[in-house]
Amino acid sequence: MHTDDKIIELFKESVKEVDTNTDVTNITMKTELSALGLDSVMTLEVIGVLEEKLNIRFPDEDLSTIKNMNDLATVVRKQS
Amino acid sequence: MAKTLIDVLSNASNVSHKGFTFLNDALEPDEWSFADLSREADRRARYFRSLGLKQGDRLAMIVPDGKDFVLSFVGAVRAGIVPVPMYPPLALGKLDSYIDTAGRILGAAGAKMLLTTKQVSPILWSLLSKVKTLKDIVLTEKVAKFEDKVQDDLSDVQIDAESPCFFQFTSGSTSDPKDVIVSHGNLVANSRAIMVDGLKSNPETDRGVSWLPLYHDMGLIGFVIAPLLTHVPVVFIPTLSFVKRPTCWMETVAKYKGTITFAPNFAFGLAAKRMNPKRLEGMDLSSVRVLGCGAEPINPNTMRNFVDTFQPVGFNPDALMPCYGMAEATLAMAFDDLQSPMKTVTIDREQYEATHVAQEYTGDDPARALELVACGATFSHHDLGIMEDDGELLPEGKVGEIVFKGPSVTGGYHQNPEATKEMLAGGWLHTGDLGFMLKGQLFISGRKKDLIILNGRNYYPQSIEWEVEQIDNIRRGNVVAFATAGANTEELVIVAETKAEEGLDELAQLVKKRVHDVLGVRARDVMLVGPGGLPKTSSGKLQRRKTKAQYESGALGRENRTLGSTATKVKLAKHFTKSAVARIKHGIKKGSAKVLRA
Repeated sequence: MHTDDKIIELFKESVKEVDTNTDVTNITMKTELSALGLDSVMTLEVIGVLEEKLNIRFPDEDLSTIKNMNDLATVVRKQS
Repeated sequence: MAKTLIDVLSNASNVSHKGFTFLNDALEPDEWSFADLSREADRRARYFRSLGLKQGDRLAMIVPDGKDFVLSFVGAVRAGIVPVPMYPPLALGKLDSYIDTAGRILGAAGAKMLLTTKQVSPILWSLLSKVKTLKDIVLTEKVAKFEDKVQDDLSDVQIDAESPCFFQFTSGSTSDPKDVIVSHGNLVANSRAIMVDGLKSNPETDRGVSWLPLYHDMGLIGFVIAPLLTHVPVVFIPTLSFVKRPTCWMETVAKYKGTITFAPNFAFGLAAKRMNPKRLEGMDLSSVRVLGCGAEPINPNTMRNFVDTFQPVGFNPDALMPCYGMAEATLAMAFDDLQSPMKTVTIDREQYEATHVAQEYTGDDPARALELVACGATFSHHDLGIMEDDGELLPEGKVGEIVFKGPSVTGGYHQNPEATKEMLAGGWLHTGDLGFMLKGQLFISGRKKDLIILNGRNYYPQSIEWEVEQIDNIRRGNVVAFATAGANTEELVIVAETKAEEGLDELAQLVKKRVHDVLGVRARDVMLVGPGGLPKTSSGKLQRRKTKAQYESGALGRENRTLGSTATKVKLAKHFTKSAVARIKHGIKKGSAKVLRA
């Protein structure tokens, strides 16, 4: 079972792999994805990296439900 | 010889040993021979007609799935129905502005029905009451279940080369979407220009691979319609799969021994960035004979970096093929020479901007060196020219508007005679792009209307500026958006005036967030200046190009205008330093496109 902290950590790693310039220091479960300043291509890239790290695949329709880290955790746990 | 897309479908109906391969997200294949495709086109045509759609009616399509999109598209065309492909909602974007834009596009096209999927449909039902002409929303799942028992041989479908085949929506100004009417004649002419003239494709040995969105001209015409004309098989990767896992592009090309693939510049950067030695092991890209690059400005360093990454696994750099085109020309207008290395020219930037002359620059000053990629020459039966504002065609070395002529050029925009007249003035297609010819090669050097292209998609600066103006403390009418060269692609910069002297960091963040939420784009930099900080003409009009030039040279906000308090001055100074450092970090090298002075 992935804890909140673990998900945040993996997410931060994924963001760093995609864009080293993005500031990931203050990410919490409430953080909205849009606040990170990634464009649509980069956000999907991050999702892709996260999918690989977790060895799961998010269904396309679930992607539109992800607004913040809590939503992301929900989708992750659904697939695990 | 085929004159319409219906002829093309008919010719394809006896080819059963090859066709289209649609990969799903797990990259598992679903094979459809050209014969299957043709048969399915007939079936779907009958289905659409059973719903009441008639020849000439517009069927809007918001269908993210590749296979469903292609089959429905050819089905509609088979019945003489006019598809209007549309962008699906972004996976992670805000929906309100999407619905708004979708409504406008549907209205502009006079769409009678909208075809979409069960997954996307929930957010679209409100469009039925918003768009007058829209009678119904149809789900692709229903199409699949249709029991084809109707006696309908489609013989009353009367199509010729002049008949509209589909509408190409040109993205950009969300408040004024324009539909390019692509006729059957346009399509066949451009498909022939691409496959026969440009690519010299061989139906026995060529295989295309594409992840390009099918609602975009390069994906639809380049990889569906043109290959259908000459029976070249294609493998389709879902666009979302590529963006999530950019390595799958070259991996799929290697796996299927693809010979032809195209993408916008940013994808080359993505593909190279995400590669690692483990993934490269065992990969063989020697089958690739054409790697086309188009749809947005081509960055020579991105291309070189791609070659460096993939040459060790057999990629032949001569396969690189920069190209140029646009929706109003159906798709393709110029291809670089086949099987020849990418050509660039470095011109004197100052002379270019001051006198509109392109002259080679061999000096040392990186700020004066502007490196541009050659996009080759145009096709038989077509003409490409460089035109002065007064309509005079210019000789080599002189910069002007790129103009184009030939059977690929559209007859016009749907129900927009003014825009059509302007676009086709004097019998030439006016592209709105600036460029020049040198040694017989076409070079694109800028855009007349300051269009911003990010990740292959067009944005009018006004759309972005308008959104930013809505934010409190941003001075209405005093926002400028433009693109500037980044390490791999063009990047968005927004400069806005504000009276505020505190909370500027937060305000800049708000601007970034808004632009992201509403338009799904990321601003690389948001610069806030005091009132009067933006350059204006004597009549008070904003000057985008001057703003961009000042930003790039670090002069913005300094030109004899009040800067506000010392706090603001200090913030601006910090900002310039940060920007300069960021640019250096991006590793913009000497001689590369637009080196920026701090």
